[in-house]
Amino acid sequence: VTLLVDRGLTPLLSVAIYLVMEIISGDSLRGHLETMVLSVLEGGATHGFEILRRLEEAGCGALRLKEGTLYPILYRLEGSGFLRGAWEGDTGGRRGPRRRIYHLTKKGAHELSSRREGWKRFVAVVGGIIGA
Amino acid sequence: MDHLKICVERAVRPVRASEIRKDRMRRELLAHLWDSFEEELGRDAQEGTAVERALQRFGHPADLARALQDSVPLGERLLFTPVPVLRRIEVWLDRIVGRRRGESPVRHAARLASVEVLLTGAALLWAALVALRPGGPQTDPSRGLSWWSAALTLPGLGVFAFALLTYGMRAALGLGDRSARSWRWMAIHGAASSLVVIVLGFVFLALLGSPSAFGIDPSARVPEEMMTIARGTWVLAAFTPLLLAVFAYVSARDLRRRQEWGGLEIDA
Repeated sequence: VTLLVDRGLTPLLSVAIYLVMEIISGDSLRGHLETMVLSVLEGGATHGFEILRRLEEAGCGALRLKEGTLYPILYRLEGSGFLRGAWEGDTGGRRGPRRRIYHLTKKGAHELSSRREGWKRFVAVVGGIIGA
Repeated sequence: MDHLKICVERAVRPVRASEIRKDRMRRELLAHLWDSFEEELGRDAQEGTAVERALQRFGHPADLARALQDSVPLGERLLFTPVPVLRRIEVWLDRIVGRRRGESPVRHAARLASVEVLLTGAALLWAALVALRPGGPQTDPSRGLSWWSAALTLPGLGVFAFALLTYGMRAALGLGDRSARSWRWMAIHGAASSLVVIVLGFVFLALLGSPSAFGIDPSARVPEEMMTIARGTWVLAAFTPLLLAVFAYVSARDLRRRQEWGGLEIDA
């Protein structure tokens, strides 16, 4: 809130933005993370750190999650056969340990399209009721 | 790096899963933390601040441990639930057969061989007591002396040779302390392991086939059991190099994991 106030926003607006961000980074986000990860990987195979970066970019900074929580999701998706992971061949001159690269499997792509359909139906129904 | 590793270990160590799965978690989480750390360093942060921020972004290890546990299949979770008694036995066994700090490979191999000889000796003593009990089979103990000696010493020699060959194969695989992979040395160690099986197998057969061993008549037809042992020796010798390589690889990985992660003090 202080950061937002420092950037010239009114205290009331800052509190409101903070609360919205808290909501998005809470339970409501957790339920959809698997689908969002599948969706991000549709754009190309990559490692966990980059998946988070893409998620944050796509969420325009409104998505906030503790970075470690991504990995159990990746493991679950891989266990279900929606993703396949492989260690990168070399670090390409980069310092630090090798990363694991994930790519979407055919099964994962099917799952993503089915979840997308489900999400569209949900938005249409709930949006119609609450008047969005 | 140690701060990052400790954070990873706090999240992974409590997870009930196979060590293979946990190793993968460790390596991947560490790679992520390292990337965050580098990113923070790039934002003009000091090293200490960069570590602190990376850890903050990563989340609390206890929460992550719970989430990681949920990602482990139920069967595996149950299989790797710690049982205190088994854990104590594991620690005890490790103390007996594990390599001690500063111990040379030859000394370690000799210690393993002596443990094996002691165990076989105890088993043979028990077998002898059963055989010599009143009403037991009437045999002259002196006639089977060579067999008993062979049964006592040959497995010990085998353990000694294979312990040394495992050290050699680890180095040949490039998994030793200061070694690069060498196909030539892998082939040499593989061939040596086959040779050990053949020599020990046929020495055992020769002793078993001697007239003094259980009174077998040398002019008699070779018993079917001996032929089976001979055939088994050749088959085992053919597969031994592969088994040795797999064992050397698995044990080296386990050792490396213990050295790298096992010694970290994770209690806050």
